Amino acid sequence: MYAYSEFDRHFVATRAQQFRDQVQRRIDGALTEEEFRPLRLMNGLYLLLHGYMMRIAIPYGTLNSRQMLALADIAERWDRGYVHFTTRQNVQLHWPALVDVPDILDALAAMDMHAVQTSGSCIRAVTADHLAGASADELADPRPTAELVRQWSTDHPEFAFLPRKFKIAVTGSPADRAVTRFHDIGLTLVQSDHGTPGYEVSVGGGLGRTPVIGQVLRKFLPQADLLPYLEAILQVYNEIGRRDNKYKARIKITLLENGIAALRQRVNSSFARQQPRFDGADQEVLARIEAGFQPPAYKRAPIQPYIDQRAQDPAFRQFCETNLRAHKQADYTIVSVSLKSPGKTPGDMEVGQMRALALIAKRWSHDELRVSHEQNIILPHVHKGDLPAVYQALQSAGLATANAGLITDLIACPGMDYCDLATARSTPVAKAIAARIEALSLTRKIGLLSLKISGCINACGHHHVGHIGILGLEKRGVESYQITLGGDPTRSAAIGKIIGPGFGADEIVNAIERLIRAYLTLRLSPDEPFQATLARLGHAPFKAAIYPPKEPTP
Amino acid sequence: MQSPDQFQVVTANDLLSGKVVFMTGNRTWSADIRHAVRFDSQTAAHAVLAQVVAQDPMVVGPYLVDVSATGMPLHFREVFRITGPTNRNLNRQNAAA
Ligand code: SF4
Repeated sequence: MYAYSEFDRHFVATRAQQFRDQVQRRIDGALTEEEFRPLRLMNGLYLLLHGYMMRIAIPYGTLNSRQMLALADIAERWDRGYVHFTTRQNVQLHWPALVDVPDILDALAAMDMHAVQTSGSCIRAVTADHLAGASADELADPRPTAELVRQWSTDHPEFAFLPRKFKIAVTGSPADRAVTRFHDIGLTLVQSDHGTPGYEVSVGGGLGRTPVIGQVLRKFLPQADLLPYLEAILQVYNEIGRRDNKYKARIKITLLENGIAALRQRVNSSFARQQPRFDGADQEVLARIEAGFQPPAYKRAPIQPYIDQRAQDPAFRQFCETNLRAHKQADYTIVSVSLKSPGKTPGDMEVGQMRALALIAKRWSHDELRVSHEQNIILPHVHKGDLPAVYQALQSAGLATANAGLITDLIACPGMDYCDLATARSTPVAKAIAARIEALSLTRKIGLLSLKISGCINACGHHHVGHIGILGLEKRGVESYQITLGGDPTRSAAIGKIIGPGFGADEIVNAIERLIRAYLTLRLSPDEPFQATLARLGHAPFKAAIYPPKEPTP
Repeated sequence: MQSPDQFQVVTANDLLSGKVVFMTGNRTWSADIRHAVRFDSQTAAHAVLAQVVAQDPMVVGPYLVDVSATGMPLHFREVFRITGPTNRNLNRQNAAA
């Protein structure tokens, strides 16, 4: 993991101190709310439906057990005993008091954490593949790049007041688990034909009101050119990105209005000016960062306990079938810890669970944890021989739900239960759907299928890219839920299409059940994924199932 | 003119705690909407809101909420804002103490 330098420590501690002073001045009346608001937002402090919400950055989703324990302590001492992990790999406290926030920031800073750039029209906390540095299919670890981008973008004076927020995601795997095609900039680590390391750069992706698939701006960018190239993109965006209408201010609109060719031309000429300014110091920094991301000291041990347990224990076998992902090391594995156990709010975690998981990570995952944009926690480096013990410890903490990647592992934004922008609730719908599917014992039968729910068009629940997406809206004074089908967050990116009129809160679960039953009937075999059935047959048979003909009235 | 059975109350969040509060008849703030002063004219409600915005630094984000004659919000968003998250048994009133 990246270890904070003295500079980093000083920076976050100073930020916390500054905010303490700003809070005091707000309370004393020296600052009006209008003056204070941008200052609190710069430190991740929002005002939502019920009160303040604090968004804490977990850069590229990586944290260690000490940090997880610190988050648990904070949630217990200054909040209500739980936290919420988001699709941005961040963590949110939903009940902090303003007077406590300076202490919370101090507690975070003491553990090399902060809430910087988790809000505002700046470059937001960088996200990355949650299996980074562990996954068998990875070309290279994306986190050194993500960390370099974090350092470059933190308090970057030129990019502190962009037209709108700006999100960058990095992946080192062709499988793209970082949703790069739907970020303002997506970076994919690649190699040139001669084996030189570099990046494929996509631009202009995004969800929200106008979902857009990012386009490739540069097929191969040499590694050393990354920062000047990013500066060039940001400069062009800063210059021609629209500031007259906030719905048209994201770079995706700049892309749509100008076209990729014109955008590329502008970026290239800006890049030509930027490149000579970079003298290689950034590459020395990158080399130092990379040294901090060396693989852990893998142990050698027999994996027989795993093989034996798998043969004897069906529940353990099920867990292994769904929640493990292939690791670079043959005798290691990656464990997905699902935060979607039946009846629970997706992404929520209680302090007791956080502490238990921190200890599990310390003992059995080389002290590493990851937060995934799927709102789960990952144990990236578990020796297979330790799996029976890990499974047992997860079970004791209520964290051994065997559903990673299955339909009940659904994603939901906080929706109107917390969010002031929401048009409808999302988490109760998520819970009701999961409960129905479980009650029908269909979870495993359905197989891999993603269902994503947002409580408004801002699409924090990524509904556009769910195989099944649900968008909560308000229609004639009540909650209404619109279904989309066919979204895909990976390199084969697709935006889900609306299937028809929305459903009320009391009907949406039935509609999803009809949709699922139709899929089970229509698929050629249990091996045909939902996406393939949909591609083969189109929307019509699903639409017919979702909207059955009404009984004729007598 | 608003309909005779529609009223407005002033709500905000307490600056220090962030808690949802409602303006009472003597211009203090209460966590209980039943203590809220109800305005039957939009003009009066907006005038008071403007005063709060200008003069009360100890609350954040004040706005008007439409309520019925019984004092309960008309829109489901405002109902959730009073009752707390529906997805979790937080026992909001106790927890907020
Ligand atoms: S999608 Fe809408 S409701 Fe959900 S968290 Fe984002 S802004 Fe809030």
